[in-house]
Amino acid sequence: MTGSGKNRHEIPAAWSWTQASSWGFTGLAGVALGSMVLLFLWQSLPLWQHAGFGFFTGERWFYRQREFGILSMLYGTVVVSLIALLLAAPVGIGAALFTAEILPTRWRTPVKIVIELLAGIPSVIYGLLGILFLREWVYRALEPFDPLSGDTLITAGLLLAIMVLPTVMTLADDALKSVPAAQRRAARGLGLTRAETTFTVSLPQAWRGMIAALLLALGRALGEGIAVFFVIGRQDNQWPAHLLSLRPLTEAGQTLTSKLVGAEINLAYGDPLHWAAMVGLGLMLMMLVGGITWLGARWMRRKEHHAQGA
Amino acid sequence: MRRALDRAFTFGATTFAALAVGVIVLIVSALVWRGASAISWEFFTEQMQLVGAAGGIFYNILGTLILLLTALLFSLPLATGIALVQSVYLRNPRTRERLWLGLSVLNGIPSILFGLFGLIVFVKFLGWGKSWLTGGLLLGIMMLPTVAVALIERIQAMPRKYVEAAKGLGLREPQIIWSVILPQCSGGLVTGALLGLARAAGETAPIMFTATIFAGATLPQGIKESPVLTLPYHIFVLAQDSFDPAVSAKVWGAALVLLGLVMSLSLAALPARLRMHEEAHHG
Amino acid sequence: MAEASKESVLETRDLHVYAGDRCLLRNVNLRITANRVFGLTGSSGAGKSTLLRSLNRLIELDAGLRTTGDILLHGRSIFTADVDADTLRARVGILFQQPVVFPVTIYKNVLFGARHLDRTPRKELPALAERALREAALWDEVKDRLQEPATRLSIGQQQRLCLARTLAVDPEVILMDEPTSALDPKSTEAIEQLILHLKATRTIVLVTHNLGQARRVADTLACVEVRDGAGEIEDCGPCAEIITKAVPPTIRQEFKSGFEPAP
Repeated sequence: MTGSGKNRHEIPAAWSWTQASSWGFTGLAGVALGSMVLLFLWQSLPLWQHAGFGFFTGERWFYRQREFGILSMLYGTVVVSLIALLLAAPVGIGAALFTAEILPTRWRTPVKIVIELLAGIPSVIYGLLGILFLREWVYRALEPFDPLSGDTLITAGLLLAIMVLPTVMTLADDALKSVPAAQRRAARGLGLTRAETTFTVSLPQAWRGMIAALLLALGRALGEGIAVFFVIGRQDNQWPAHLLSLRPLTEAGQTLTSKLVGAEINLAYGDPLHWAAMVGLGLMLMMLVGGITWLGARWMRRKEHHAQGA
Repeated sequence: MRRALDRAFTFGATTFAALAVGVIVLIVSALVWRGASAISWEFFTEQMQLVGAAGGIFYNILGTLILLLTALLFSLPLATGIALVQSVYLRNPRTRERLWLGLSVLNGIPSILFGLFGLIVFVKFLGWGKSWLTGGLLLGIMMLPTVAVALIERIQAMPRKYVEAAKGLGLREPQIIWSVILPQCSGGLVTGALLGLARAAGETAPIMFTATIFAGATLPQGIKESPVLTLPYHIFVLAQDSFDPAVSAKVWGAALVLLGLVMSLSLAALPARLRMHEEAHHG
Repeated sequence: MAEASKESVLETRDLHVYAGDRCLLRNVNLRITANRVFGLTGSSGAGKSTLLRSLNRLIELDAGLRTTGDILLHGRSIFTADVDADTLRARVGILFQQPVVFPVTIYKNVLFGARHLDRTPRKELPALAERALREAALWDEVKDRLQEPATRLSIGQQQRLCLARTLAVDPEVILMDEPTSALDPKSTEAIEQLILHLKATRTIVLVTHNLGQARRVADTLACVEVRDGAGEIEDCGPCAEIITKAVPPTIRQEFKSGFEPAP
């Protein structure tokens, strides 16, 4: 056979086209990601020179007066995302407990489909629903507080809660389902009730996956712009008198994302400093969401390693 | 006491699940209720008139499809390359971990940042103005993690015996990839593509500054200064001014069409996806 | 054997098990008497495990399975509304073919079920754990490492741990689904010795496909075979009788000496 003779003299093959292009494409994707960060840094340079740390500590954003402080927007972002998470976490985890521990296997597929569909609804449609339904309901519900309109931080938080709910549900359900059924059966065989089995067998092993689910949902909430844009009121400089007061929740506000999808980008296009400030906003958002997503993804992997190692 | 706890647990979990399911039923019914009246053959085939108050959304649908096709063509080879690197070429588990994390981070980047990126690179630097190609490329990058991950999962789920048999026959790596791995796992590519397109179809933020306008475009001519009309942006603009009743029904109609598009793409991917999901967790 | 005078602990009456429309088990009428080992044997897939799991209503956890007919525990039906399935399972325990240990310490594993019963005060739990582990002949091997993860035990030890866990709940009846199939001969022998020891205080229902094991351990034996698409009890009676019937005449001739009951 030609086999061994050929191999002895053959020079190890250079990278095949497939291999080269695969690496090339991967590199391209990495470059895109990396260049995004670099570009944002570069384009926002005038801002850093102008405002420096004031960007982070200033709560006033008056572009005409060259004041660029993002604190009020950060406040809006944090509040709105927190509301979303506080609402979506219990409902999502509760629903996941239902689908993973109570629902008979027959029904799992249809219910999963329904949840997937909810996850796929585009943000602009959520925005539409927010404007035409949610806004009014919140306005009416807030009557005792004498609101100016239905565009408030609460409205945005509620809308976001619905948007991230399916994410929490699916990931929490995955986490619970990864606990072997044999363990559940053994626990029931000992006479434990369904609730006891869930709390002593499933949850202790699934909690890591749930944390990951919440982190990823938080990332989604932080980065959502279009839906929030519609119902938050887009009011700059809404810095609360007292940080822990609930009053600002009934008022309009602004988040990093709602500012970025607004008309101000077009306005800033020709003005180098204003433009730099907008790009600076984008950079902030990227660091914030990138960090949270990275944490969530890493936590996810740790959960998988843990499960395999146990 | 134990009985009571068990009953409370069942009640609580069921209530939350019903709440979650109820929300989607509400959303879809609201859309159907408000938008059904606008749906007609003319709606699909005519173009917009009277700033959205009359006419149809023909060019909006067309524009969205153009962007999706471009995104698909761009992302498929890149996602395949990434998937191959992750599951075939990379040996070091630590690097593989980093690549996976990188994909997750890319996936989580807010869509408006892609729009900003596109604005800087394509509009500012390259001077393309608003272009369909920019939109397609940006959406393609956004789709990448979805497509790549679906393919990676499919490759990792493929039984080793096929590759081993091919190696035993003397096939070399590229041949194994093209004759064994990719054909076997093409389903993963299709699933990922469908899911990625479903997400891309509904995105407004990446394209609103870079690729789409509200009125005045039909078919793109060339690359520079050739924006398209799109469904999501159409809805975005009209929704901000939705007090005109004549416009209102049309917006809902457009929203219904967009939802239908996104749902069809998602649903098409579902059977294969559920099957793989079950195999991964209960295999 | 004055079987009739002994009260039956578990009894099935016209028990049928269905998966949807398909019948899995048909017309099962068994009487399981106290302080005996009741063996269930038969071909693979005939329905032995299904039958076993219906005795403590564990098959209710699998969607689509339903039973008709009745099962009586000490003369009272286990299906009536006032019977709590979870309480039932504490009285009728089960041991699976594959040992299922929870990813916690040995100590926590033993007490996993007993903790919830509210029967034993907190302070007495360690004593309960020791009793159960002694009864399962595992105490000496683990007494110095109770806080170690149970997953570190060998598979034979894990099965004994599962037995201890079940014993800690103090069931009257223990169902065993081929408990030694996954074990090595030495562990198998240990478990069989335990079974013989346990029957003095409890009742055992043992599914086994190993006739040798049945001969060594079981008092009564029932054979489950598939007839017309569903499992039925083909034969039931004292173990020695059934075994000789089950073995084909030619082999019986060769191994005759091995099957003679000891004088």
